Amino acid sequence: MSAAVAGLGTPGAAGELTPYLIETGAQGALRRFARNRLAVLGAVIVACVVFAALCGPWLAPYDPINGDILERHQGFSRAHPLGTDFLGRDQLSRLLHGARASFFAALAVTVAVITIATVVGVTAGYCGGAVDAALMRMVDMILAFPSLILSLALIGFLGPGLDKALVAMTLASWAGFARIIRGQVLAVRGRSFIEVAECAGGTPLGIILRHVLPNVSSTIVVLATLDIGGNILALAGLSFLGLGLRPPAPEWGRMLFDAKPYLDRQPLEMFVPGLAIAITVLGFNLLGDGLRDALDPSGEAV
Amino acid sequence: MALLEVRHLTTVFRTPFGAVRACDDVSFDVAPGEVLGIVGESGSGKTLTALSVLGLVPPPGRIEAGSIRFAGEELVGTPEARLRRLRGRDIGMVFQDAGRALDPVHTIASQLREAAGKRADVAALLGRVGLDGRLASRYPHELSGGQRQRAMIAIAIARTPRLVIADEPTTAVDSISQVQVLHELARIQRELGCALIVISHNLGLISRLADRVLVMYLGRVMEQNAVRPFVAGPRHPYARALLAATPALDLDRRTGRLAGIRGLPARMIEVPPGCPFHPRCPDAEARCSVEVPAWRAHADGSGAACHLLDAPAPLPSPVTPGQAQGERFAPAPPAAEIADGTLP
Amino acid sequence: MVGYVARRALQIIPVVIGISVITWLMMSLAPGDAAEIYARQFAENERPTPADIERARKELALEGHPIEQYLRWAGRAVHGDLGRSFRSGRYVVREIMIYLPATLQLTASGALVILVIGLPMGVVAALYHNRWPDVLARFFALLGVGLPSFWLALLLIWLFAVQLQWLPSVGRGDWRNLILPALALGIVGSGSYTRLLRATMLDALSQEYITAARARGVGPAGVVIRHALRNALIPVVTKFGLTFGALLSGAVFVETIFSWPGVGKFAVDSISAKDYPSVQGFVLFASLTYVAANFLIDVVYPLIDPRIGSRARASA
Repeated sequence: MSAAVAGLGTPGAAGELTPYLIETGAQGALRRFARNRLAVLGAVIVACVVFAALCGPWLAPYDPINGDILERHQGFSRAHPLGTDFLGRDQLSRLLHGARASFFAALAVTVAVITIATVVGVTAGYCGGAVDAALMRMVDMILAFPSLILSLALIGFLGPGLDKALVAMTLASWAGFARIIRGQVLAVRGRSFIEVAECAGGTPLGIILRHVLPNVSSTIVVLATLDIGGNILALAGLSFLGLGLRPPAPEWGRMLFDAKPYLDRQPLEMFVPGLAIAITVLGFNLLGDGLRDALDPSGEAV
Repeated sequence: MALLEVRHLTTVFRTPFGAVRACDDVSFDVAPGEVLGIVGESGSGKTLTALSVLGLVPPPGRIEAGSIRFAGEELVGTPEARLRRLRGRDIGMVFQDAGRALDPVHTIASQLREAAGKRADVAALLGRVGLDGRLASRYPHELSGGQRQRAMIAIAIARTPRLVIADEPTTAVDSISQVQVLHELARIQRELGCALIVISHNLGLISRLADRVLVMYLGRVMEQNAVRPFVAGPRHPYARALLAATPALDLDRRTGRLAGIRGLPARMIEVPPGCPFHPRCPDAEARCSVEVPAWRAHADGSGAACHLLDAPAPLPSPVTPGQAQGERFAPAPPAAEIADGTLP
Repeated sequence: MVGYVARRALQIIPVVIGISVITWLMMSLAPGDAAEIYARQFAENERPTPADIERARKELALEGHPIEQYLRWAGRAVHGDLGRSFRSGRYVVREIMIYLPATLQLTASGALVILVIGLPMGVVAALYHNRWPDVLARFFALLGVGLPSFWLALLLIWLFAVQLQWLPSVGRGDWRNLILPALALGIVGSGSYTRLLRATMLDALSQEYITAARARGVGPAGVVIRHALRNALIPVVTKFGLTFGALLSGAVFVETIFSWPGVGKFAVDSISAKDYPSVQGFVLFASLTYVAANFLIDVVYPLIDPRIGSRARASA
C-alpha cells in the first residue's frame, strides 16, 4: 500500500497545466471521443444494435413465432447458430426480431421522456417564479417514487401490454430529466448573452429556441443516450415479469423468462438473450459516457 | 555547516504534452536559524522546490537530478518511511491556503495531534500562535481565514522542527490578517530559533522577513543575495524589474513611477531557449536567446545567472548564510504597505 | 441539530401528501369500474347485485366529489386502512406487514454486498490508479452497471444451484437461501459504487489537505483512511438514498425469480391479478420506505460532513 500512496497527487503544476490543453468546439469533441476507446466500442455496439433493429426481420433465418416443436432445446448447430427454445423456435431469429421491438420501444419512450422533460425543464428554468415552483413541486412528487416501482404500479392499473408499458415508463421517468434540464437552463440563463438577446427585443420563445436550447442540447443528447440503454433494460425487465410485450411476440426479456424453467437442460437459452441485453445496455452506457466526456470535458454538466 | 543544502535540483514532469522542468538546476543553502526568501511570479517553481525538499512531488513529477541534504543526510532517493519521520518532526510546512490544506472533516485538534502526537497539549500548541485553545474543537470552516492560517502554522511547528517552509503564507488571507500572520511567523522563528524558508511572489514581504533572497523564474534561479544589498542593487535584469514593479519598500522608500514588466510570463511548457527571461528582458542581446547563462558567483555567496554581468568567479562556490540578522524585524508596518508590496 | 432534523421532517410532509395523491389517482387509471371488479370478487357466482356494488364503492371510498373521495381515502390510510385485497379479502396493510420483513432483509443484504464488494473495489482502484487492479475494478464496474439483475440472478442459479449444487435456488429458509438473492441484488448496484468511490477517492487524493497531511508526517494508512476515504465517502452516502430505491426495484425481480416471499413478489402477483388495493398499498409502502431512507440519510449526513452540520446549527 505504501508504494501506492507514495505517488499520490498534490495540487500544483500538473493540475495547472490541464486547462490549457483542452480543445474546444465540435472538432475537439470528436477527437476526444475518438481517443476514448471505450466510447468507440460503445458506438460500435450501438451501431450493431440499430442495424439489427432496422434489418433484423430480413436477416432472421426462421419465423420467430412458429417453431418446430421437435427441434426444441437445441444447442449450437449449423441450422440454429444460437440454438432453439422450448417451442423449437430459432433463438437467433427471435433475438433479431426482438432487437427491433426493444430498440424502437426504448427509443419511443426516450423521445417522449426527453420531449416532456425539455418542455417542463425549459419552461420552469426560463419562466422562474411561481411556474418554476409549481412544476418543480410536481417533479419532487414523482421523484419520491423509485421510477421502476412507479412504472410497475402504473402498469398494475393500466393493465399489461406494450403500449401501456411504454406510457407507464414515460410517466415514471421524465421528472428526473426535467430537473437536470432546468438546472442547465438556469445556468445558461445567468449568462450575459441571454440578457443581450432580451434587451435586443427577442421574444421568449425565440430566445429559448435560438439561445437556450442549443446550449442545453449536449446535455440532452447525453441524457437521451443513457436513457435508451436504461429503457431497454427496464422494458426487458417488465417483459420478464410478464408485464411488457405479450407472448408469443419475440422480446429479449420474455426470452429470458421462457428460458428460466430449462436452466438445467439448456442454459444456452438463458445466455443468449441475457448477453444481448447486457451488451446492448453496456453499449449505450459507454456511448453516453463517451459523449459526456467529449462534449463536456470539464465534467460539470449532467 | 548548512542545515539544508540543495544542489542542482532538477524536478521534471513528464507529461504526454512534453516535459516540464519545474525546478531546473536549483542550488541554495539554508543555515540553521536563517531566513531564506524565495521570490518569483506564479509558476516559477517556488512551490515545487519546497515539495521536492519534503519528497512530496506529485506524479508524474520526479526529481531527476541533484541532491538535497538535510543536516548532512541525503534526501533524494531516501525511502518514503524515512522521509515520513522527517516530515513534521524536523521539517514543518505551512501551506499557501489553509482553507484547502486543512482537512474539512476533522477538527483542528485532531489534525494538530497528527503532527504533535496523541498526548500533545493542543491548547498550548494553539497558544503558541496566539489562538484561543477553545478553537481546538472547531472544524476548519468554522474559523476565520487568519485563524485557519495560524492553526496551519501551529501544526507546522508542533514538533519544533529545525526547518519551517512557508509557502505563500499570507496570500490567502485578508490584509489585516496578513500582517498578523507575518508577525506570528517572525516571532515564532525567533523564539524557536528554527530556519525558515518563505516562499512568496511578494517582494515586500520577503524583504521584511528574510536574511537572504533567492529569485526564481521558470524553474531557474536568477539571482541570490543578502536582503539589503539585493534591495539596494539587484544584479539580474529580472530582479531589477521585479523590484521596480514593487510599490513602496519599507527598507528603501523610493518615490517615482511604478514600472511593470513587459510581456506575459512565459509558461512552463514553453520555456524559451537560452536565458528564460530574454523575451521580456529590456537589455537582451543576441546570445541571450541561444546560450543558457552560467551562474556568476561572488565571494560573499551571492550570485546571478545573466550574460550581461561580468563574472568575477565561476561556480562552484560555497554559499554562506546572510548577514544582517537582528534588525530584520522592524516595528509593525501599517497593513496597507504590506498589502501594497504585491506583484501583479 | 434538533432544529435541522425538525425542518427536514417538515419538508417531508408535502412529499408524503404528493405520494398519497399520486397513489390515489392511480385508481382512476384502472379500466372499468373498480367497485364492480371489487364486488365481483366477493359476490356469489361473480354476479354482484347493485347493492353489492354500492357497498364496494363505499368501501373503496369511490363516492362523492373527487376531493371528498381523496380525503376519505387518505383519512383511512392514515389509520392504516388501505382497503382489502381483491384476492384474499384480507386487509392490504396486514398483508404487506407479512411480506415486508423478507424484503427488508433482502435489501439490507443487498446493501451489505455493495458495502463489501463495491466500496473496497473503488478504493483499491483509486489507490492503484491506472494499474492492473484499477483496470480490473473498472472492468467489473462497467459490467455491473449494464448487467440486468434478473439475468444475473439466472446466472447465479445456474452456476451455484444447478451446476455446483452448493446453494438452494428458491424459497426463504436459513442463511443459505439468502446468499444468491443478496448477490444478485447487490452486485448490480456495486458497479456504480465502485465507479463513484473511485472518482471521489481520486479527487480527494489530489486535494491539498492530503499533501498537507503527508507533510506533517501522517503515514500511508492514515492518509488513505482518515483523510482520503473519509472525504470520498461523503458523496457516496448521499447516493445511498437513491440506491435504496434501486434495491427496492431490484427486489421485485429478485424476489420473483427466487420465490422470495417479500413485497416485490406480492406486488407482481397483485399486478397480474388486477388486485388494485394491493398494488396501491405496495406503491405507498415502497415510496414511503424510500422517503424514510432518504430522510435518515439527511439526518445522518451532518455527522459525516461537519460543514453541513454547522450550517444547520447556525441557521437553526
